[in-house]
Amino acid sequence: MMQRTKDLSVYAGGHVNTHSRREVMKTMGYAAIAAGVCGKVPSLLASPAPTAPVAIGTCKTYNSAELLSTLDKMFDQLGGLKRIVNGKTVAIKINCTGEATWRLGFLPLGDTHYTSPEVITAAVHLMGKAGAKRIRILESSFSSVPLEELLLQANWDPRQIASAASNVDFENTNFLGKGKKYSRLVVPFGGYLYPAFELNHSYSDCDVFVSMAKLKEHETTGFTLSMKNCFGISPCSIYGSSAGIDEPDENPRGGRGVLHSGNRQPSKIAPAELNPTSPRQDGYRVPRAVVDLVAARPIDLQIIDGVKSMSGGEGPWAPGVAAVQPGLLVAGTNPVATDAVGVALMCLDPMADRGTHPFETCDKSRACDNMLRLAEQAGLGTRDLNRIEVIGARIKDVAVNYAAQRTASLMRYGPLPTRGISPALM
Amino acid sequence: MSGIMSSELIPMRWPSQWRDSSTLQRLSNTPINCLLIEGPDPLRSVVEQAQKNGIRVIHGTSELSGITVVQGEWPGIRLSRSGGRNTASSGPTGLPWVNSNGWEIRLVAALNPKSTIWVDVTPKDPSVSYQLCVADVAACGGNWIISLDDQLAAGIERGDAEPMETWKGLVESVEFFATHNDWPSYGGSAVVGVLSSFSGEDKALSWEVVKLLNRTTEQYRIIPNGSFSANSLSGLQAVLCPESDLPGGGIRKQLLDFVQNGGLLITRSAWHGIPGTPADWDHPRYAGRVLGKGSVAVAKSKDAADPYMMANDAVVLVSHRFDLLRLWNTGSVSAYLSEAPDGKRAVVQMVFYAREMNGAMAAHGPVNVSVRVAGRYRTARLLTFDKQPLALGQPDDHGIGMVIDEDSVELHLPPLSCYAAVELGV
Repeated sequence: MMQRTKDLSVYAGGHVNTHSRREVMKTMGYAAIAAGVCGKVPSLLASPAPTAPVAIGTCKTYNSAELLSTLDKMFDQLGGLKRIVNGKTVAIKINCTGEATWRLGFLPLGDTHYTSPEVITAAVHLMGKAGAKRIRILESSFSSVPLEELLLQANWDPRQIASAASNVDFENTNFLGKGKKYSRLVVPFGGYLYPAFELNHSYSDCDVFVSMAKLKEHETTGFTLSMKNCFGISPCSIYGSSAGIDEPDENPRGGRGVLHSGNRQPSKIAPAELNPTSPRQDGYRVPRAVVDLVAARPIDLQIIDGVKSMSGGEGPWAPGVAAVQPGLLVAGTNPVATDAVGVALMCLDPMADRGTHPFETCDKSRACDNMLRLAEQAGLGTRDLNRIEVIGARIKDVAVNYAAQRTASLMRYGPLPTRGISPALM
Repeated sequence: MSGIMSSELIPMRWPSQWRDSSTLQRLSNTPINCLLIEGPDPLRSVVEQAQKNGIRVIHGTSELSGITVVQGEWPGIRLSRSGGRNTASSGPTGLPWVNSNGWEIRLVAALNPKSTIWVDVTPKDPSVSYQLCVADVAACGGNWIISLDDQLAAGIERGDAEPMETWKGLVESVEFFATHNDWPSYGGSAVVGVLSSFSGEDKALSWEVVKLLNRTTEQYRIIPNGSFSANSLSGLQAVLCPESDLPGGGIRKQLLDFVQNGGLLITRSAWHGIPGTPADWDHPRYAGRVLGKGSVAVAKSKDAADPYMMANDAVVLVSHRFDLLRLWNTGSVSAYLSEAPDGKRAVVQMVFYAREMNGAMAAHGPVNVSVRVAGRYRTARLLTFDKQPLALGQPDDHGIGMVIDEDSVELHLPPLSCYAAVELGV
């Protein structure tokens, strides 16, 4: 039986103004058109940012039966998976941040900072059942090795995912990959930093784009959910530190320095940034780059794995991190609304702003902007929990205080031993 | 002491400032049984006393038959050219560059199968890790000609506390390998074989490929053309032939048989015209051909090969699916798996370099190291220089222990220093 709740927030109680999906699509379209016409950051848009329902499921383990039944129910609550994927080519961007040789403690990567392979497998299986024509697993893993090789290094068996449905394949989107040329995706509202991106073909050669993220905090941006996961759709061949000046480097190395610090422009086949004199701090740039990317490549379906995760950062390299087991799954069709719910589930405030938790740092010049606010201003969706219909579990009943979990872990086990040298050198 | 075989000698270079034969007492109760005394001054009293103590004295390594001396490099993370104490040079991946002698010991041993390999390298800085140098050399079956820096030698002669502590640690590590002197007779387990003459026009390339393959932690076997036998390819998944010249007819036939039976052959472009049909996979730098149950990867370019790409491409072409070892949280590491002749025991040896950076010691070695070993092992025992052997059973409260899977075991290790070995039993 479908459960709908309108009691939304651990922060905000009050009136709920839900919109129908048709209204949402209409509003979203207007917002994009208005922004494109005006060529401005659309904070002046008259229409409220669109919203969409978000489903929360409780799932205590990565047991496949529990995952399948929970996800199946959540997709039903969102109107059914068939409606979204039937007869379509589905591209799923998973989250495998950092080197596969780096764990939090002894824990498998899927239990902490990678999207769990069991969640990927279950979602792929359900998409196959719902009629997906082709399912493509995407991630921009370091260098240009096949994605399957990264998964093997992580101690996963990609055959498990590939056999969950028919016609499943993998692509490392960190470079040109299997495509003949890059795809240019334009930012409809004009962009905060970039007017368009050159991306691996996989992000345009699909009918449905899914961001399958992890319920995590982030050292720079406060949190990393379905939107921030898309930072990784940018290929390092063009946006990486090793990218060629004129042409992409098809054997990319290193991280996305172009987007992080803006210390250089992308390879010239891609549009340069709009304002090279804008601040170079990653707290300013990363959330804007994320919003630009999500606007250029809209996310049709968001799935957030919060069954097991970590608090304190996006990977084991962040200081003071700890493993957590929220036992949650989140899904939705508007990335801003979905991520706002995800943020609230970590007991963070989606309405918080630069300089306040979790967007503060000791060095105020490096404080970060809330990407949800920027996305909302760009007309991508609302972060206001009062305007988001939450289906399934109630936020206040299942939210997990990540900061408290971290503190409890530290009290029990003490701080993780600090490495003797810079993590970059490990 | 004439009864000691060359292969049993444990050599030390007598420090030039040790003029008094009484300093020989520092060597009592140590496994050091060979002194290299150089220079025009014969130090007659030292020589006589050493010989009375049963120590073999030599004045140059050429006096010994059955010994091949490798001019080594001090192991550790390579110093930055800028000289900054907290910066390390990096290789093409952006990972720090590691100086190690293991690959060369293995290569020289393969080319000189009846020789014992000694490594001659002297420390340049008093704060280096002597244990790391012992481990780096001995883990591959070599012997380091123990050489002390002047400051340490003077301190040991005086009996100063700190130098004596360093000396004690050095001796502990030498004793460790003397105790486990059966390990060098174990057969190295391997996924990839490197087949080459290791001489002639492509000598530098072939040697560099081995060096770089060693850095990947892929388990490899060195197969000199001259000692190729029917067993050379047993157990391998792939053979890499870095030379442009084709091997002789007999070897070529066996290679093609290897492929027919399911192996992968990775060759230079000179091998175009090899039998088989085009494979349905593509690689930026290799064209595939299917032959019987296996395949051949032929380099597309006739240009001079890049040894870094060649080594790393080989690891991906064969696939991490066949990894014998997977390691997490090790930092820069060399890792070797070898199996006892009875097939019932194996040993994993790991040398951790991150402690030794810029000639300075970090506070401690790696923590939370996990190792997955392919194979049906059921017992594991951790061995280090300074602690009692630790049987690894079920994971304890802190996760330390062993997790047994169907075809592999995963070991979760306590904090380590610069070296660890795990003995495995079926």
